[in-house]
Amino acid sequence: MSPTLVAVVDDEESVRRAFRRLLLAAGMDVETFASGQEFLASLQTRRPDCAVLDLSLPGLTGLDVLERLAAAGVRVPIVMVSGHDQPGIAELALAAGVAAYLRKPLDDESLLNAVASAVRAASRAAEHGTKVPLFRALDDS
Amino acid sequence: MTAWVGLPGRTLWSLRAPAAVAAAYFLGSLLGLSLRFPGTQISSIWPPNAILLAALLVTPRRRWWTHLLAVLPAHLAAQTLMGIPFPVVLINFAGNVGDALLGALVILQVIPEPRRFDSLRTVAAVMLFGGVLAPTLVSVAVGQLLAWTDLSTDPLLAWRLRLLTNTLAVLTLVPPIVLAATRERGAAALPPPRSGEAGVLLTGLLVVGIFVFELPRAGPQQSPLLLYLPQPFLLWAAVRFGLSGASLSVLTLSGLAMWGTLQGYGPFTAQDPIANATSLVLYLNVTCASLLLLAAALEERQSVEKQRRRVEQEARAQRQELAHLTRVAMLGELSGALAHELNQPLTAILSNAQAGQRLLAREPVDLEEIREILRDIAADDRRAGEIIHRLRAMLKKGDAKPAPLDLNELARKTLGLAHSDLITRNVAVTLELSPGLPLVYGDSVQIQQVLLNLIFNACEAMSANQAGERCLVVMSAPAGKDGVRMSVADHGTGIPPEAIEKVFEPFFTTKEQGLGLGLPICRSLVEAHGGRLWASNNDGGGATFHLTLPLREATAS
Repeated sequence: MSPTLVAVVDDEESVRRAFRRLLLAAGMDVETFASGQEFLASLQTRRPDCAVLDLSLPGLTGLDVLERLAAAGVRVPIVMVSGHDQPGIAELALAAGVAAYLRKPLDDESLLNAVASAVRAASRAAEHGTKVPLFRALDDS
Repeated sequence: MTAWVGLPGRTLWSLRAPAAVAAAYFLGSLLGLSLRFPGTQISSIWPPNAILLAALLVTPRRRWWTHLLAVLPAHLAAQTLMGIPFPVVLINFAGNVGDALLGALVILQVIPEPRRFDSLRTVAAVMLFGGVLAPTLVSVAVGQLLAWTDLSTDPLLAWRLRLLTNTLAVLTLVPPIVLAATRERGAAALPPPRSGEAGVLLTGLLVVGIFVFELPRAGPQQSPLLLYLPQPFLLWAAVRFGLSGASLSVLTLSGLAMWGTLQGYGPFTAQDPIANATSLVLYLNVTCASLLLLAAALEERQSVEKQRRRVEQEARAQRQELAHLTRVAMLGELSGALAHELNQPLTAILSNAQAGQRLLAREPVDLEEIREILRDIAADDRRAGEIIHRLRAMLKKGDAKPAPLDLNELARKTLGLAHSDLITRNVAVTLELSPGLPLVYGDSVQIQQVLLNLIFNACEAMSANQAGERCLVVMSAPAGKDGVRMSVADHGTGIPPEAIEKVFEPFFTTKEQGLGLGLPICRSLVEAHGGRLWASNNDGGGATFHLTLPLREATAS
């Protein structure tokens, strides 16, 4: 079985590099994207097992990306991370169906556990023939 | 002394002033009488009235009676001692008290509250009303009285001499007494270099005074030019030591001149005694009056200047304080964004460190990777430190520290501070910075505050725009003799033409939660740097705020 492929979407290079190292050290495969657009475009060719998505991205925000995924009917388990959130955003993201919502800075254990359980839940759902729930369209972007 | 036992201390204390006035009046009478011209009844100066006038001027009106009562025995004693007939003693008393009372009443009527005895207006009032008007009126009355009672043969002469000698006493004695009595408690003594200068001045004045007035060179060959010799010293006193210096030096000059003339020395001895006395007193009066008016005018100008400087300093302190407060408020608005800015490097550091730990637990250890991790950690840590450093600079209170400033770099740094906030607000930033701009001169924290404020306002103005239409443009360009121009343009609704200047007025605001102080403070900060801040509307919609900063010789606050 091939290692888990995780997509890291963050506008800051140092964060991308650090997450990439951590996930690689934990035995996963990693691809990184600097923006929501890049990530969405990459889904045409390859679909990761999980995406670590930053909330505050220039251009399309993390929530915008969720909306696009829902609109396109693409199912990818998402671990959303945020360095600065306004009240209510976490609830909004969880209601939209993200697998986990983590606040930066985050411990390796919490990130790896969140990724692992998101992947597990998705594969269990696939085994049982149920589909990973689609992200619900958000009222407010 | 036993008579005073049982009197409360305050009563004793309150008797001190009238007692001192009575003593001064007594001594002044003796002095005036002893300075009579030989073989005449003419004195060159008549101090008692002036002493009483000065005492009344510095005493609340409800306590005047204590002085008037106290000087009566002093007057009787002094004049009786000098062998003056009793009716004349009484007439003289009425005249002296009349002079002082009338003078004091009129002077206090015309000088404004709060009373300042070193103002030009007060000095002029003392001279005019205390030195001329009151003695003129009272002297006419006294001359008439003396004539009616057959005590004087020439009322006109008596009037003239009385007036002149009274005027001289008022001019020479009232200013120093009043200044000494109203001198602020704890007023600093002259510092050593100034007291040295005062010593040289006094010595020079004494030497010249003795040379002119005390050497036995009487006669028609005496050059009138000698009378001008003391002038430089008197002017020196007025210019460098103000009203007190001027009044003390005219007092010294008057003393020397009178003493010498009475001894038969100096320039005022060529004519008959009455003419000599008249010339001497006229000379001294004119000298005193012009010098005191000059000193008062100079002092007044200095105090206006001092006041202006104090007001300016207070305004500057207030501007700094206000700028600091708005800066703190602005950082409060930014706090979420700043938390994010700090969180990014912290996140990278933590994940890098933990990745490193995992790599170290494996065999073989990839040392090259560990090295890179450590390099990244150091870089991120520096970045976090930089943010904290900038934050501390913005929060810090204190005076502006103007220094050469690269506006382009400052614009980049400022946008860096606001980075996360701009992302959250979905604002796209375009930089159109003209490369190689000359350095301006200013306080980086204050100019950064102005830029941040303009950026916030621009974001605010575009908050109703569609997500894709929130474009902020920051531009810089050389501005000729104005130095360097920096502009912040938005694509909002623009500013109504009638409000384009009003936005810089305090408490004018279009925001629901704005105080309306941001732009006025920005403008005052920029203007304190010798620059300008103004707004204009864009052709394609939205508004642009421009600021210029001069290259050098800025008058930063």
